[in-house]
Amino acid sequence: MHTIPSHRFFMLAAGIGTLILSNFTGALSPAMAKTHEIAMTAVETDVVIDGGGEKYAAWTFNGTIPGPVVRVTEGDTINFTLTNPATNKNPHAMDFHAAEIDFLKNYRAINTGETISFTFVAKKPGIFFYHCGAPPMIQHVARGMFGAIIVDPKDAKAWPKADREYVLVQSEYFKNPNDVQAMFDRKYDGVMFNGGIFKYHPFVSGGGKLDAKPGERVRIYFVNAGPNEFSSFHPIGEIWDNVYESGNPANKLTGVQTYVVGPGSAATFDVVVESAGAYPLVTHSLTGALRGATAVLLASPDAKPMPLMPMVPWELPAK
Amino acid sequence: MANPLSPYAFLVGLIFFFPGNAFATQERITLMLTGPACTQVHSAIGRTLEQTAGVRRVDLQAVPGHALIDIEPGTVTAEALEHQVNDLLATHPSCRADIMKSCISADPRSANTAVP
Repeated sequence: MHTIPSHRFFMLAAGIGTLILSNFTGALSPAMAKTHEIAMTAVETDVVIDGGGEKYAAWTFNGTIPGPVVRVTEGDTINFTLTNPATNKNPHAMDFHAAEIDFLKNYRAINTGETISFTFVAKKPGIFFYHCGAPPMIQHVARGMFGAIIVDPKDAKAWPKADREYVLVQSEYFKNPNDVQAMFDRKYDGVMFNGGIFKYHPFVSGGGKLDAKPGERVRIYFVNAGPNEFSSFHPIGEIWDNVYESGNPANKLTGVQTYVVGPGSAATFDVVVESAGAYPLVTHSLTGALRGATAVLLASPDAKPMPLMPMVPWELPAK
Repeated sequence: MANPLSPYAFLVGLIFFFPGNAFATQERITLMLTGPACTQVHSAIGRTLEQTAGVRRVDLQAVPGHALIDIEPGTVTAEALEHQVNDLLATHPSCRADIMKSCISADPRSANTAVP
């Protein structure tokens, strides 16, 4: 007889999964390809999506929007396992844009109580989207089943060393998570960075910021999860020193004011902030920027180190 | 080469007077503090604001030169807080508080809507 583990159990499992991922995160020797065991759990749970404590009935990888950042090095092998607990109500799946493998076999949806495993080699360096592909995919993405995988180039000298790195994943927020028609009709209510409305906007209630020091090369790994809207990513008060399409060092642009990242795509942005001050990073599609997709990069000499993806889950202000 | 325009000018120009985002259950009011003596009166400004009815939290550290003030919606206005701080600063003319305002608002319901 099967026992049905509690939701808390799966959140714990998700946390352990995240720890496992973090153990495999970090710079690896360029000469030695490694194998990574990556386990994720589909977690259907409420998540806070703004500084006011608004909760959203999300579908997630490991309980957060976005899911955990996976970081490997070009040439590494990823043994991936997705678990869809029996306590969930929906089929789920995983589609890694960093992989070059058969979609029918590997990206199929699994029912509740099932697991699926597949293996791929991260052959191309860059920043890539991952997401659930279970039907209707538009809803699974809109409800939060997405994340980012960084494939570092095996030659670390392929591009300038970054002094500070952040991951930003843009997505649309649909207030009614069950209104699939609104998703098809692009009737979104907000645009999020890393699963939050104005998550990195210090002048909005509960908002944080991204820190940097003047003169640092700040590298933004940017993914547009969509599901529908294009991002026109721009650093207010600055110019992107370099943009790398799909995050591949070979795809280098220089001196770019604004760069368009379509849904399901990604790019890496470098900016050297020359003086202290505030530099809002926005989608210059202003209906998105002014409804949540504004992240303020605050340059200050006493800036402290921050995580790659700060405030996941949301850090609510003291009340 | 960086954009020659001041980032703070952009800050004022673009962002940042939100009467609270469309989904929030509390509001944040931001006062810009300008003048060479402002850091010397941070403590007094913080005490004054924290003692004001409706104010939940004051942060004078997160963004240099700014007071981030979380309030209970509808309990106190930005103008009232601005006046309160400037009254306090009457004896410190080298520091002044102003509400962060913008020609572009995040909230279409706000009073910043342009008049044709």
